[in-house]
Amino acid sequence: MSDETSEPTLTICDDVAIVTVSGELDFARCIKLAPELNAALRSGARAIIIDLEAVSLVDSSGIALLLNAYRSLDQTGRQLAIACPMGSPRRAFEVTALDRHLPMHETREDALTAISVS
Amino acid sequence: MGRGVCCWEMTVRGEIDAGELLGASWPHLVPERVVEVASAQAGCPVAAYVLDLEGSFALRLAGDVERFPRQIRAGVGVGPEIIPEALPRLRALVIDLVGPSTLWPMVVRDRVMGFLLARDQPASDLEAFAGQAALALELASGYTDALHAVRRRKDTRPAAEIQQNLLPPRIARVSGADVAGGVLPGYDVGGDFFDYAGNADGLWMVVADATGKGNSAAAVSSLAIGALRAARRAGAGLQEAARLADEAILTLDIQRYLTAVVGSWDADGHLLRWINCGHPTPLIVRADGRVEELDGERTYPLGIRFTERRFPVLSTQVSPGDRLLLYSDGVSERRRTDGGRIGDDGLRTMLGALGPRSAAMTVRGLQDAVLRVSREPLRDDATLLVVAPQD
Repeated sequence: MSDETSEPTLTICDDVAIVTVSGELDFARCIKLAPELNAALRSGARAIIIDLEAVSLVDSSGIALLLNAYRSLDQTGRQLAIACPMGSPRRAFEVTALDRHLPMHETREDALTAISVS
Repeated sequence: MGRGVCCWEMTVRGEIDAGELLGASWPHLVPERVVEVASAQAGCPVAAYVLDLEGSFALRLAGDVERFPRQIRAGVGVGPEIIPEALPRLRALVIDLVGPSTLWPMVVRDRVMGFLLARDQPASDLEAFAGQAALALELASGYTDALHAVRRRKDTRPAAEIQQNLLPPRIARVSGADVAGGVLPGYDVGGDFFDYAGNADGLWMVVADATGKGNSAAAVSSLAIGALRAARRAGAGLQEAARLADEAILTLDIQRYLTAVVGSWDADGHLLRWINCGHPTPLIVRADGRVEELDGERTYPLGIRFTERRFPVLSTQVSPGDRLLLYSDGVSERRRTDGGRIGDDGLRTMLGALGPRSAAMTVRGLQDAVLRVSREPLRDDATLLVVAPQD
């Protein structure tokens, strides 16, 4: 399953960093995602979007990684938006009740809008 | 140390008890002493066996190395405790391997912690002695690594070692319910735990999972279990206990979190009250076989702070005939050979397919089912706690 997916990518446009990942966000993929995410955190971007639109499932390692990203952004007063569709990708956020506390959005467009509005 | 004559005299009088077994030897020699007295009493060689950490092998603790095999493959345990209902199967496995033999379980309360084995026709029954031997061995184990070392077929990682030492007895009857809990794998990972206590205000229970694996996860888990036990022992309620664990983890400041279900079941009213802190939803198998999810309002994991922190308490009836299952995501997230995960639905199906069985047999049955979905070793702790109220 994970073999068919592409590597995580980081694009920085204006002052927004967008990290995109696909497939199952499990321990193995977190190891690949972490450097991109760290680069985004270090980039000085005003806001970071984590795009999980093409993710099929997030497991507990994925949740831990995203939570830590949220915490380090929060400490520096920068913004985070997570694009994650309802259903299977959103499931782990619901189980951990984090969907009500993390900045969750259905699509990348919604996430971009949320960031530019604020 | 009196040996030989002294031991024979005590045997003849049939008076030897756990205190004498313990008092007459250094703790690390108690296993040898048990076997020596048992052999004298039975009039033939006797060996003592315990189970390994994963409940899958019987391992020789003491006894003649020529006559008794070092290990016997027998998946009859939950952790290092033998499931009472699996004793007939254990006897059959032993007879298959060593031929005609007699086996006496070593029982402390409801806990079968090992067995004595004679290959020849014994001159006397060792049932009562086996009970005293069990007590002596359990008590001696607090002073020596002798039993712990035999129970470990492989080296344990530090985190797994901490975890093993945090866990309460795996099979028990307390506060009106049968309880059984297990964590796999026994030798590696670490970060999950379960705990329970039969108290005057009911049966306390918790299953928890620290994010990440290994040492830092073990640090979070051991601190959380300390906080929860301290709260319990100070007479705190569920919300207070959860709050204390949350605050304790926050002080670590290591960006690790703990998901947990903390609950308490009242034997008189059959009422279960629980708090779900970002943990997989508990399941319940009703007496008629239906499997239900105990869903409801939940809060986020312990060790994080958003603006507000509330601990909503949920409740439901859990009556004799029902079985309550708390578990960690290492169970549902386990990958099958085909690449998919067991999933919540898969676990419900496994649970339903087991049919009616005891708490311990439910845990073992689920462990076997979880292991069977793939040949790969477990990558994460798979923890199960079953509570089965009794009449």
